Amino acid sequence: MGILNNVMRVFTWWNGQTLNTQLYTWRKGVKVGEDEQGNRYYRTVDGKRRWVIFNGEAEASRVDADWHGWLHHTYKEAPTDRPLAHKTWEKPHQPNLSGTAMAYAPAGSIRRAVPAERSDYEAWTPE
Amino acid sequence: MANVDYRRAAGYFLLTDFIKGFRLGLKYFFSPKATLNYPHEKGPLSPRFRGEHALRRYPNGEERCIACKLCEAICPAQAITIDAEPREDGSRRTTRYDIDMTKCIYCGFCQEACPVDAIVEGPNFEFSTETREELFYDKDKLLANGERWEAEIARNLEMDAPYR
Repeated sequence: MGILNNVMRVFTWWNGQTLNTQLYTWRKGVKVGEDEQGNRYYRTVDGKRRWVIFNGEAEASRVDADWHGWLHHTYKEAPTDRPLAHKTWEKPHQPNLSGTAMAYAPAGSIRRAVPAERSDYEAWTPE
Repeated sequence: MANVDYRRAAGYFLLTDFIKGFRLGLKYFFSPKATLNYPHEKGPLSPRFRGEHALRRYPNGEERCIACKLCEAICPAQAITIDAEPREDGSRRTTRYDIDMTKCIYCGFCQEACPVDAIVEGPNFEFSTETREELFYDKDKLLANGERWEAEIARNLEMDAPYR
């Protein structure tokens, strides 16, 4: 696991981080915080660049709503300094599930166990 | 003997064009890059950014949409379909709220038209799908988007409020 993981990190970019990203984070990164999934957030000393090191697959949609705005430079304060207001009925973050079995399927989709009945045409039945 | 341009010939023999080109290449090789390390680093977004749609709820959990159909009427791509019925408690709500995201042009007219700030275009743009049908959003999907992104949507609306 350990050796295979390191070999994969040399040749792929989606296993956590590449070696160059790791080197850059080690040289320039100032840690800002960590979210529930274990993704770690960094910035440069001057605050010009902000980035995330994913805990696991490097999938951009894994950034949750708390950190999304900070990472996109929408606002300056990280959620560790100024937490976002949360309502009781909010649901936990979900990454983009397209391509997995958990992906969203609309009511009429044949990927559903029971697709909704079609009402825009009448099926022809033989005698 | 024809006229020979010795200056130009010397340039050819000393590879000046090659050196000039190589110098230009090296200049950009060592200059700061304009690119972003994407899945880790992301580009700046405005609080007004118009991304994936979401249906919001009031702080007490009641859904905001009152089925006035203004968004359906203003949608230039006619991507929104709404059916409405009074609920058991008599309040007017949608029974169906579909957005065809393949038709949507992300103009933001729906959120401008909405009198109760129910339909909004959130900050998320990473909702690409592998199949077309996954982009036919229904009411449950839109409400779920609202429940997942509410914290940031609320912050963005708060930041934009002084300019409206």
